[in-house]
Amino acid sequence: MTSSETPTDRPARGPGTSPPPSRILAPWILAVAVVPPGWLYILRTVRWHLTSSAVMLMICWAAIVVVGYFAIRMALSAASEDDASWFVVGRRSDELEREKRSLLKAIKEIEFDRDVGKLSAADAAVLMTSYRARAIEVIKTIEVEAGSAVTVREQILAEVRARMAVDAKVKKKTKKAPVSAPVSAPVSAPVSAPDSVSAPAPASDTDSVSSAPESSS
Amino acid sequence: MDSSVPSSPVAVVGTIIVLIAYLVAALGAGAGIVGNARKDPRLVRASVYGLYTFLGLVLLASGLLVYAFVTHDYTIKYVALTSDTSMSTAYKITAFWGALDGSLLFWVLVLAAFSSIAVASNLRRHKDMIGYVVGTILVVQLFFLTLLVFDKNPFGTYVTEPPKDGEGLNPLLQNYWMVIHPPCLYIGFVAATIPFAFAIAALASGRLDDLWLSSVRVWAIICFFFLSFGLILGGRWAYEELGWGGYWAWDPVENAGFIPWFTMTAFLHASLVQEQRGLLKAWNLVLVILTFFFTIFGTFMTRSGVVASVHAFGEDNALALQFIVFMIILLVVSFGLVLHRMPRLRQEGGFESFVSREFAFLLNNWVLLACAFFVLFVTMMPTITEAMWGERITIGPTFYNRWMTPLGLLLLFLAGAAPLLAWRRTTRERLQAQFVWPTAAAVVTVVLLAALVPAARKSTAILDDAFLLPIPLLNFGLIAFTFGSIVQEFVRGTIARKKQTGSDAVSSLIGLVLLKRRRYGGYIIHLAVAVMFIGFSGKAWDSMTDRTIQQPLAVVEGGEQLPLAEVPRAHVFQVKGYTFVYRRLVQTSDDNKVATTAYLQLYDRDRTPLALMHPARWSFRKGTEPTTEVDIHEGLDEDVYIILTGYDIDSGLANFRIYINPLINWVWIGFVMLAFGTFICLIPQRVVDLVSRRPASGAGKAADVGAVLLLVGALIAASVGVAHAQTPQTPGGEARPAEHEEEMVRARGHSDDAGWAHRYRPDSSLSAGIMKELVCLCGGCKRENLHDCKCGFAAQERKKVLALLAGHDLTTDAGRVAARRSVIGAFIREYGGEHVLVAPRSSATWLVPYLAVAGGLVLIYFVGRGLIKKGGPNPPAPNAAGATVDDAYDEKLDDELRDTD
Amino acid sequence: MTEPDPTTTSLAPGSPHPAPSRAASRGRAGSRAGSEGGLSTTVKVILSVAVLAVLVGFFRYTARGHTSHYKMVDEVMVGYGAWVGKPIKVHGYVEPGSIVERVVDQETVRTFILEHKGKRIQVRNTGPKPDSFKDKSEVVADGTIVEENGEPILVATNLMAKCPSKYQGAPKDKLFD
Repeated sequence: MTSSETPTDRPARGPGTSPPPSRILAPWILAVAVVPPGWLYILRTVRWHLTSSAVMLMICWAAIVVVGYFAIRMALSAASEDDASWFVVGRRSDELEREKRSLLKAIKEIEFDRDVGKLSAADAAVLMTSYRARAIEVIKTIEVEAGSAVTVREQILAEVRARMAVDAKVKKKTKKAPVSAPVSAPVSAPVSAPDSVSAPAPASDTDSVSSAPESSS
Repeated sequence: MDSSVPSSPVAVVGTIIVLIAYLVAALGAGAGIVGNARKDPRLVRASVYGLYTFLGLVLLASGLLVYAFVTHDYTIKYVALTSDTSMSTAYKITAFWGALDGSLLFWVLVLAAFSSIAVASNLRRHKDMIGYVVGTILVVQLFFLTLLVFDKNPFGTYVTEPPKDGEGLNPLLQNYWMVIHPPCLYIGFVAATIPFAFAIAALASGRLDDLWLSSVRVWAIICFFFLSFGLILGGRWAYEELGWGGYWAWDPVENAGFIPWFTMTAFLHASLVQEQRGLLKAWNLVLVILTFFFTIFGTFMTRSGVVASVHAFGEDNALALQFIVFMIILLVVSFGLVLHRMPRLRQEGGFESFVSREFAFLLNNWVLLACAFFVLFVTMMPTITEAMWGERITIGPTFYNRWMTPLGLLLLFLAGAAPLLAWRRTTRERLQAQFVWPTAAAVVTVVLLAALVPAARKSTAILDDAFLLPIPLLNFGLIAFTFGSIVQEFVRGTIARKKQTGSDAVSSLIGLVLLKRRRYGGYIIHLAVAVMFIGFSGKAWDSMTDRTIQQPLAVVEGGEQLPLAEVPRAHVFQVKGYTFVYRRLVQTSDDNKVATTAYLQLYDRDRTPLALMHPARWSFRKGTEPTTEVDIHEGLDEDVYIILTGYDIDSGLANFRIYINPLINWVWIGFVMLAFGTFICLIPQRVVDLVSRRPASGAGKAADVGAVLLLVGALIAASVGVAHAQTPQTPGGEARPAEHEEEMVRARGHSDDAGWAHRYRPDSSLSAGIMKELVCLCGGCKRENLHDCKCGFAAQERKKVLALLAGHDLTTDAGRVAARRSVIGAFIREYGGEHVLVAPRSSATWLVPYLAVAGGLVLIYFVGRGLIKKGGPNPPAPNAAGATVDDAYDEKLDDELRDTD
Repeated sequence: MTEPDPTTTSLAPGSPHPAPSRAASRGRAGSRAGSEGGLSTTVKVILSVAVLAVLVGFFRYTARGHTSHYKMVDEVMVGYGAWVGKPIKVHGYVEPGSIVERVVDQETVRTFILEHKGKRIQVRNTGPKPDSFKDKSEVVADGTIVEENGEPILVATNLMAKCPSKYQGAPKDKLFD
């Protein structure tokens, strides 16, 4: 995917991209608007006696409208333009958020169990330390990921800057604890994300720098 | 396909719609699966819309079918099979699921509706596997549609002359249980399909983390609830209506609903372990697959005639074959995917200790799985035996109880013990601190019962007949243990929260429950199960007695006024300390049936009168089997349940069967608690935020689905109310026949064979139309119109219509309209109101409860959302950050923790 | 299904919990066959099959008193000795004139003869009878055969009318659940 295909000046869309509101609003309003006239027609035919058979016919009419509306949309979406961001955008940050939330919940659970008496204070403290450490790592990761970039171009620039900074840091310092700055850009080829709660792998900087050109293409 | 010469447009359109639905489902499934595999969002989006289109089509088909019912379209075989003209509207609608063909369509409808909700609410979260979800669901739908299209078309019509009236629903099924029990079970089955679809999608797409788990959580709880509800309803129905003195007979149809219940319960627990510790991933997938498989297998067992039962439907080899093929494909694909992904499902970490919550859950899984397979195995045993050795056997319920009792007690123990254990490892002193009070409660209960209640010391057999143990004492001990454990959890939790928030006990308790809904809702459910075990234990002391009394007291001059002490012994009998006086035998009849009722006065051990009991037998003119209408005197301690098993109307001889069922009402009470606990679990986050005035958290959309599904529950409740109102109340049918007696005299009889139906028939479409709009007020029929009612009163009224019309000019359109208005006006004036019209000019009264409930819930939802958007007070700002970067992150972490529940 | 190996650490209070990452690597490092102290997969499979076989055998043993066979009268009378004391359902026709019913002590006691293809068996029963019960009606008697004075007598706890439409397909397949 070359940069020419991705307009970098368009505001970056978050997860769950959908066409701008005005394009969906019209069709379904139209569909809903078609329903009452049909109902009125049915009621008129039964001389306004709201019998169960009349209600059934009204349900049938609403169902017909539903069928028509979604069938048309089905055909249209099969023929619409490709939206490459469907499978990719936002996965990474979503996962991180979830991981963070589950860690927080785990910490709260430990606190609660300790208060209620199921865990001793000592056991709880030990567990909390490790959970808290991981939670902090995740929070840091989320911060780096999210940044404050608004457009896609700015996001890419921010990523490149961050990568260069990390590169410089590693070159300066010799033995430092591995920085867990991830290097995959949000808009990139699908990366398979880790699917379990595990310790973040230390970023191998040379790998990431060399793979950067491929992953951001 | 079974479409013959259709003379019904409804049948033609209906069949076409089903075919189109088949096509759309196939397209959608293909688009979803291919689109997901090839990462083509156009196909995936198309498949989602295909799912919604499918819903519309099925809704249309269902609407048409119900329309056929309410307009008595007997050219459609299914309508003729399960309804007749005299049925009330509510039963005509519920005849939709009265037999196999329609109930398959009903299943398709419920699945289409729920899957649309599930897909719509999870579309964003699961964009990368939603194609597989849609594909799986539509493939399942294709299976059901295949059955419908090729074999069991509910729109099939008659080849020859259609009947004039339908066969009607078996009177055994004409009660409000029939309105509500099948939909409940179907909702349960459908709710098991959604997690299955997500599991398959997770496997196919490789997204095996916890995401799919949290999205299906709501559906799993809903499945659990509706399966439980359906099972209990079935039991209560059997108890009240079927008259064999019990509520559960381990019949194959009952077992078909029970087996998936076990695996779904196991899944609910195992998913907690995966969330908390990342263990049991493969277990969760397998359990979800098994639950869905068992719902299909259960349907196969009961519908294909493979297993004979009281509910049996006869053999249907074509159906059986289709099911078998589908089940094989299901197993191969599902377990194939699991095996394929096995390397990624290996758990990190393990079980660190036997005394850990996760290990208790694992044990719980094993026991539940054992229950499921045991029941499955024993249910299939007669079929297997007959297939392999040609021997026809039946296995009695006592065998099931011998094995299920110890398994059930084990589950009860785990239900009490698991909440006391900690994750990972419970240290020894904590173990003691947690277990001391519940164990004390158990010991005290056992000792007190053993000492004070001799009956409690009874030994019953488990496993083998020779293996006798004091099971009731063990049972009550475990019940006390569970009670102690759960109460302790609530108490300690409330205390901990009081310390945290500084508020009073009650708010702390409520806040605690709302904060940790799953945990405390689950605890309530455990408590409810313990209460139900109180009810189950009563079986150890139940009794059945047969008595024959040759003459009622009524034959004695002034006998019914005698006090108990003076009643001749020939009319009195005693069972387990209760005294019964057989007073009289009465026979009444109406147009549907002849009811024979025996009246007995029930006295307690100390001779206080308790109730006048009226067991009855109804024989129907239609020729179906007579029904027994039992009478039950209910009490918290025991039920006195009496059946009129036989009688001789001439001599007044009556045979009775009396069951004494101790503690049985605790089963129903326990279920109500279970419903309450489930309700707590399902409260959506937004409602909690509303109540606690916090900014809305980003909690999963899936939780909001709970709100939608509460709607379902409310609608079911409303339909029960509606159907109940429609059901003629049954107490011996005394009031109505008496009233009808007078009417019979007045109208010269309301019997079908008096030939009144042929008198004064309409002579034009106008008169026919008018007669169809006017109701026959003879009082004996169920508000039939003058055109259809066969009684003399109707004939008389038809004569009136014709006479009134005679004075009008009917040659012009205007004249006809005027004539119609005048005749109808005359009837309204004569009877003083619009109740003489079949359809009062504006009547939507039966819609009102639905609209009210729906409107109320929608209102609450939007009001809640609005309030939350306004926001609440923000949490207090943190203190100034520390010097180092890590300290800053610590503070940030604490902030986030404060915002977390 | 993954079979977890509960790796028990000592329960002595105060022993620290292993940090999550260590446990993770421990789990990942070993293959299933080689995890510490565990059994090889083959042994596990054999053990499971053995346990299952024993269990199934135990089932059949405990089920012997609750399995009720279904026989026509003639099938039973060929060698009724085999059936004495076992639960059984006997299907036959009521021999005309054989029904004797008395009310003894507020209980109905009845005896009658079930026959099929020339073979007959005496049946004794208390309690309710099906509505269609009369001479020549088709009945299934559920109970146990006892021997009295060398004669087999079926002590029936339950009488059921044989419903002919039950085992036919199509039109009568009304839903119950």
